[in-house]
Amino acid sequence: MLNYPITKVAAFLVFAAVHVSTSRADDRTQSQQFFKTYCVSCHGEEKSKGGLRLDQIDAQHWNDPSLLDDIYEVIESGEMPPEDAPKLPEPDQLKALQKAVGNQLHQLAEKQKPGMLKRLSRVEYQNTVNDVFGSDFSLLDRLPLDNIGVGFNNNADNLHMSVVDMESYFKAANLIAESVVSDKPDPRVIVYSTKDTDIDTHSHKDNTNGFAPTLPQASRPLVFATQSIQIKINPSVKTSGVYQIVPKGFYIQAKYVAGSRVQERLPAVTDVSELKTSEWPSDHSMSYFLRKNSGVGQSIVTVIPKNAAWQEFDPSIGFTTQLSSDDTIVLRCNSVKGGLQPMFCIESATISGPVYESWPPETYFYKTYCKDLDASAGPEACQAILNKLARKLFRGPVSDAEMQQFHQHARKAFAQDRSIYSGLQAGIRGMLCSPMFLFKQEGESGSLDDYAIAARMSYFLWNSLPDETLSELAKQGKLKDPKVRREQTLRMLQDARADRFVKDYVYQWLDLEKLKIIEPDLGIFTVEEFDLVRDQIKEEPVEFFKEILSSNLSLVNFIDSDFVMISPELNYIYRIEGHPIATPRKRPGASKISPKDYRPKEITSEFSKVMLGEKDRYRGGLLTQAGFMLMTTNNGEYTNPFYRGAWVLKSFYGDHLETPEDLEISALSPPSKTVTIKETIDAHRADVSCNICHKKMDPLGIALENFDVLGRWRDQYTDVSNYAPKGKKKGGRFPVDTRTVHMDGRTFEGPQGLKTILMEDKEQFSKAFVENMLSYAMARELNFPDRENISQIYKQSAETNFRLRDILLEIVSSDYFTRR
Amino acid sequence: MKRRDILKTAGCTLFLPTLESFGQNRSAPAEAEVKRLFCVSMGYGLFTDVLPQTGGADYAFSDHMEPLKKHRDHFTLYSKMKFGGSHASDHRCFVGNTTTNPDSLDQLVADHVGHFTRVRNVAAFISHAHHHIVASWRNRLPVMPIQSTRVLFETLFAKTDRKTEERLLANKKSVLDGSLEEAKALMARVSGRDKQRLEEYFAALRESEQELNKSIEWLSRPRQDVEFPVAPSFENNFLATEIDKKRFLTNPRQIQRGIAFDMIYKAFKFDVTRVVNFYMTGLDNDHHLTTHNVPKSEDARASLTKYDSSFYSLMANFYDKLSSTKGQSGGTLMDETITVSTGNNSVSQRMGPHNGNEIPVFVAGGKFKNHGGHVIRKGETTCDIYLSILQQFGIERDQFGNSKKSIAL
Repeated sequence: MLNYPITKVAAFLVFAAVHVSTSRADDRTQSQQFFKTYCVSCHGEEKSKGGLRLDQIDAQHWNDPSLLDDIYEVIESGEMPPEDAPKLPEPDQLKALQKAVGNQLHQLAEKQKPGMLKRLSRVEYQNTVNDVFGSDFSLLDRLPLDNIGVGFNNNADNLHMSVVDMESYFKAANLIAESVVSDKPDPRVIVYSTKDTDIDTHSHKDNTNGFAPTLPQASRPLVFATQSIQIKINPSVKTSGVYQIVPKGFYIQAKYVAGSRVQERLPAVTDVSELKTSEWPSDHSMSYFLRKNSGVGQSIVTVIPKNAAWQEFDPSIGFTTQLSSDDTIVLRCNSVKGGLQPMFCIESATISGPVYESWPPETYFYKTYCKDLDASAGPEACQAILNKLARKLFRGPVSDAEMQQFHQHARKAFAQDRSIYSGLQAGIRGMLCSPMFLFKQEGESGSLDDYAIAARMSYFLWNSLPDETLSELAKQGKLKDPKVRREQTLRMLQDARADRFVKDYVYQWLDLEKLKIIEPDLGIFTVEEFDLVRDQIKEEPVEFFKEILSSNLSLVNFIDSDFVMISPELNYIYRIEGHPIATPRKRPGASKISPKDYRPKEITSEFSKVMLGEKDRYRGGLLTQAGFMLMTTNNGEYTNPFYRGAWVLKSFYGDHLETPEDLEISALSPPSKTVTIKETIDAHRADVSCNICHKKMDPLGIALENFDVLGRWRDQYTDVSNYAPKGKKKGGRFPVDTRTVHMDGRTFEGPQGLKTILMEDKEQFSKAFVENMLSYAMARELNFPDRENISQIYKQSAETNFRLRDILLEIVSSDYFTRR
Repeated sequence: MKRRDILKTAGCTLFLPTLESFGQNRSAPAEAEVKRLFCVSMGYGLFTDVLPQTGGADYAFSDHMEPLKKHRDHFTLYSKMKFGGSHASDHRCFVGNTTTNPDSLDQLVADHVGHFTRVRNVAAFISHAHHHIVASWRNRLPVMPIQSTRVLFETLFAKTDRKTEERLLANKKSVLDGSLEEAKALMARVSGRDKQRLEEYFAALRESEQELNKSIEWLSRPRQDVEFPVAPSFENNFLATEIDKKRFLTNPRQIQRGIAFDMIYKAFKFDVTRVVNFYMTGLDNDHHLTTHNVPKSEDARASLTKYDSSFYSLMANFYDKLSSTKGQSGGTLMDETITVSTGNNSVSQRMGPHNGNEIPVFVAGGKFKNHGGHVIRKGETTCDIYLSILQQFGIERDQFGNSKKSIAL
């Protein structure tokens, strides 16, 4: 409804004294009068800038906290009324209005309880289940989507529940219950053959290109594994366990022909020169652990390698299988060098199992919960196990009365199947759909009890349930003590589970998800070069955050730092002196295959802290990191100051601009020989309504033009030939001009200039940071009544010079953290 | 501090009335002439420069739409519209206005006709999931789509033995009953916004219960035995060269989609479901890049035209089957089924990739009077068409998303 942008940060006012002196009706009448006099010329019936009309502030609007909050903030930030308004109020009139609005907001807040029942987010659900059952389900694709609004994924305000979601929870509960515990299953054999679409090749475009049409339909092989090709199999099995996979097929002699992909964007074409079938060696079989991962009517399987992630099949053929993260077995031919060579076709694949070496299996679940379980015992044997599970799943003590129904589920199932495992399954299924599991129980009063505090701490710092230590402290009633929380926070941050928090937080704070769908233009960075850094550019900001957290450094390091966290691979981009530089490895065979189709072996290189010398000093901070520079380009082809500016504005100033809806925006024309990117942008700003947002974001982006698509330094646009109109591809260099003016009038130039500006504004940045972190920690949106608390935690953080770990400690040990 | 609360507060109240109205409308008047709805959207957008540029009944047909030619009289092309969103929200193309409209077109129709069939409705996404995967929205929430042909098949035609199925339903029933009890007990203890959330959960359970009851009801009804479809072959004279055929028509992803479409056709034929929302993004991994190259490269424009042509093959193949099958009312399935296919965005040389300013919508089936023609609706909203379609189903509404008026189809 309100689309106009408002500077959100800088709007914390320490509410020294809010006296409810005037009656509500008075406040409203006076405010209405004010709006009528000063605001309706722009926000009225005739003009309604930003879609806002202030001529209709009736009782309903006056009870709308969001609207009032917006009004409060624009006054606070000085954004409204604008200097060029036809009629300007006196400062004390404006203050009176602000106060009236503030009063009303406080009154509204008192009526509404602060908290909101929090549903587990997808990640929280998955981690909780995996930590309780010692499993490693990847459930994200099967759980309800979290965030349909703005803010963090754990934001309670966005976590709704519908029948569609409930169905997903039923299915997930079934899957989990059947996967973690079951009777010993009968082995079975499944044969996948040519006609079976379970062999899913759709994500790999040229699986049969050049081959399949030469063979009759019936005998068409499942796949011809050429060097660039992967085949995916989604086996569907009914029970978890170890399975054997045996592919069958034949070889052919074939020749690799490079495709004309660059112009036509065609895949490499492979050509059969000789069809020479040979028998499949019978001893080529592989064993994997396949875990059933299914809901009603679905049977998709997660594949877990029994030992390593990669299993070389037969190096002389160069055939490998990889177990990919998306629940599939990937078969790939990987050492073909070109020319005439044996290639191979799979006609069928047999999957048989499960095979158990012992029963019950040596899984975490059986070892932890069913250690002394006698499989022939009666249903009461389930009860102790279910009680143990419930305390964990529900993150607190559970009364006998509350357990009744789960025991009953177990008894009923036992009566039906005479199996204790069936009983356990039924109990687990019930618990996983219970509101006590799906919602965080934070009680009815304003302050949390010890168990709820434990859960808030663990979901904040671990993205999962509390461990034994925390639960024990909760039981002893010690978590109300800020000192204990402080100690625990330090302990929890040492734990490996804290990495979940860091990654999750950094990804969401900085929008790193966007990196998934972007890669540099092939003319700028070759496929091999990008293979080298693809994973690392996503890892860099996470490692950087980790370092600042574990060394307890100041937040200003995000703006500028005297060190970087890099790997030799990343240094291929950065070229930081005195640090090793990795070199890209040739891809086997075709090099022009789209990077998205090719998964190189995972690079496991270590990140290390590298101090920056004078020459590389400009590399400090988040701003210059390759991932962000790439993420904010036009499809990896040319840099886009709009995107970069908006990203800086959101990440550093906490000001999230929304792309205007229903606005005819033509594509930003690429810079050419005659028109620079800056000129294109300035043209955009001539329009007043565009300028409201663009004056904020553009300068921040223009200053970063010294970084190319990958964050390499440039003084001149040298890659202009990539996006100049066809036919004008000859050369073309022109200097990068980064001189620009900040929204508040300060002039600055280049990335260093931007950093200087941000340093001057570090208070704003720190406030935005603290507010973000607090919202994540509280797992909800922060509202008007939170202002005082934000401001307090901000002040305390300032006392410790905004050291990151201290900020977290401040948050967790604050009294505010233990309230709803 | 978040101005969007306004919307959300509005959203919360929207959850409750649905308790009475969801799922079905038993007091509905006699069945409408159109019975089914198939919503198809193509991610990244359709290339609008090569679409017909003249309007009217005798518009000049585009070469790359060749596969659709024989069905020309079965559909109307509406073009140059907007859907009221931006690129960021293009997966809401069937919702229209993104902030105030809680349900997508298919969900509203499913509310109306879902009770006639065993499966209320289906949302599917058969593609490479690297961007949005959702195109169907219910009560403001995204509906997770089915993402593989196998699961789609199992959902529509699974031949689970009766015993297993009864067992599954019984399991679900006891979990549901237990959770409902718990929710009731909890409800007595909470208030304010906690209660709102719990009411959502409660409503979700109640709706699940109704769906469960329906499943039990349908348990005893006979099921059509349907085989897993074989790979379809597409006819397309525009993509006549061997290389184009391989690239666009025997492309594995195209095949997967063809298989899925065949299942949907059979689901319509045997009345397994009446509402399907099908979303797809790139035909292969270069599709997206190609759309981005449209403003600057002739090759890319030629290539994108071919991508789109393969999309029209898919649709034509589906129409072939619908129009050669008799429906319940004596006409063909084609007449009884409205198929809406659209790019969830538009691509053009002038306005660039995913510009969203010139959305084309193909409305097929339903024997509409505009069929055979091309209606240019420059700057108008796609929601007008969706509103009109809702009315065809006998749904009494005068507003959908940012619709301004309903139009004669």
